[in-house]
Amino acid sequence: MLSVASLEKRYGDAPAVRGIDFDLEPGDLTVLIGRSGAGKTTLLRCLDGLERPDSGTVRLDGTRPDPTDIALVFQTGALIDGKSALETVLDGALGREPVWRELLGWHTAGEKRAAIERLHAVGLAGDAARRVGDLSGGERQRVGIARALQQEPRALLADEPVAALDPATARSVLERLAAVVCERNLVGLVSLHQPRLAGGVADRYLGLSDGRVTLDAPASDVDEARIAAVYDD
Amino acid sequence: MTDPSHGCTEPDSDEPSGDTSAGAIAAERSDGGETEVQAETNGGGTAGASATIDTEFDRIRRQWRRRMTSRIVLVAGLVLGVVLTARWLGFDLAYLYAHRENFTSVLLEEMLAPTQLWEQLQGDAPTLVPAAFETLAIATVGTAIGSPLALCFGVLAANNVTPRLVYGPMRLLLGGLRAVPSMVYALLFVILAGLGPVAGVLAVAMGTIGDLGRLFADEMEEIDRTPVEAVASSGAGLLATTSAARLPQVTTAYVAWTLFYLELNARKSSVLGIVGAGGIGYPLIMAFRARNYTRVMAAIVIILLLIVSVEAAANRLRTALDADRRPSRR
Repeated sequence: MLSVASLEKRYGDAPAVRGIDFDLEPGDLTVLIGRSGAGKTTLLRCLDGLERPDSGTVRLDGTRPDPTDIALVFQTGALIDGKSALETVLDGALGREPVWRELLGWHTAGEKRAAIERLHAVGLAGDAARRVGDLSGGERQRVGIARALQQEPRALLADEPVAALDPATARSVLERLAAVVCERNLVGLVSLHQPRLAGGVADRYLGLSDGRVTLDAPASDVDEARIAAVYDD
Repeated sequence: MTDPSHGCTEPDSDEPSGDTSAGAIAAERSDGGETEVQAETNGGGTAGASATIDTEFDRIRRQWRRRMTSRIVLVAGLVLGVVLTARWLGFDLAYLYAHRENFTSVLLEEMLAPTQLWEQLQGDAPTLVPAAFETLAIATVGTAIGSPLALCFGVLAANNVTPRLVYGPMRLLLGGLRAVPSMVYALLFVILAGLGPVAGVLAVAMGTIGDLGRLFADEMEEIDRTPVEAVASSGAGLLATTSAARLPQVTTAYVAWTLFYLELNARKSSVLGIVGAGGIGYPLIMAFRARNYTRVMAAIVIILLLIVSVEAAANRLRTALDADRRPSRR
């Protein structure tokens, strides 16, 4: 379980996240919604360790998470065009592999096999050798998810992973995310700008307004009016 | 086509609408902070719009005149500065014109006389061709030694890789290396390695570290931050992140710069022999001292062939690498 307590983060005098508390269960995909500037990205970056919170705690199964425990999928995929899909996915294991392996590009057969398995898991069978720059937007985003899985995390976060995709592709990427979260029993937290896309894949909604949690409910209890209220606050 | 008389919807505008009988139009001048009420019209929107256009036109014209005047003053100042500096250096066109015969006679009668030059080339080939290969070797080995070191120094000198405590001194070091001309390095390394190509190789390598290191650092500072964060978020350390996410973003630029420096170094190496650091510069300076200008021209022809060949080879390599790395976007 991912437990967040009294999490606060300020940029200068401007508070971005103000005293956030929630618990997320493994196997569930939670959709994080809120207006631009509500603090979604800051929250995800604090959880992933890319930002140091000013106060508060983040616990995974009761202990402070290791950097490899929580993976983050970025909005643009954050990929390098010149690398192959396989090389990109292998980067996910850098947290536990010796540096010389990466410097020499000499990864173990086990890591390579695991990386190909992750690519299969996100629907990119046979695409391991393709350059990332040659992939479509949806495929790139799925490579980003495969890289996050290669990290072998216990929690999978995604920061607006479908913002640049058309609705059909976005939906397919979200379904793939929900499937891996469920199959691998991961804690899943995905921020979205189009909450409607989450219908059917979200197990739970978390709404942020002005850095505070204003909605925290199972998907079954959330209707359009409650979602709209998050954006109206 | 749309008939303008049939109720076209104008885009949102601050202009008064056509049926406003009296519209006061105020145009604020952005330059100088002055505010001037340009026109008060009683004749409807068309007259009002015309007055607004006139105001805008006058303002732009005044701005344009001011800009043109300042440009003319700037260019005139630059030209005057160059002329005065050239005179201070002793540059005198009248003197050069009066002594033109010296130059043209050497050029036409000794350097560019085809039969004489061809015979000189044939006679000097056994000396000049090995010297040209030595020049090429100096440039290649110097670049090969200098560029990996430039890569290391460049990465350390990038402010998005290392803290100020590291990149500040590294930038200073690279600046210091760049400040010393290759000829001076060559003279220094002749003391260390004696007369010959080794001093040239070391001189070229030092220049390459200073120049390429700075270029590499600048390239590194321009990379996209998000792939780096993505790799760092997996728990990877600085070295692994640099290897996996920073260097792949600059590889193409690094290779292109290194090939460009191979070309530059071939040019530099061709004159290092003047100070005894090997290569074709030595026969060149000896020919000058002997006032054998046909031999000077023969050496220049060989240098020309060498430089053109290196450029052509570097261009082919660059094209091949570009074709290999460029993704074919959908």
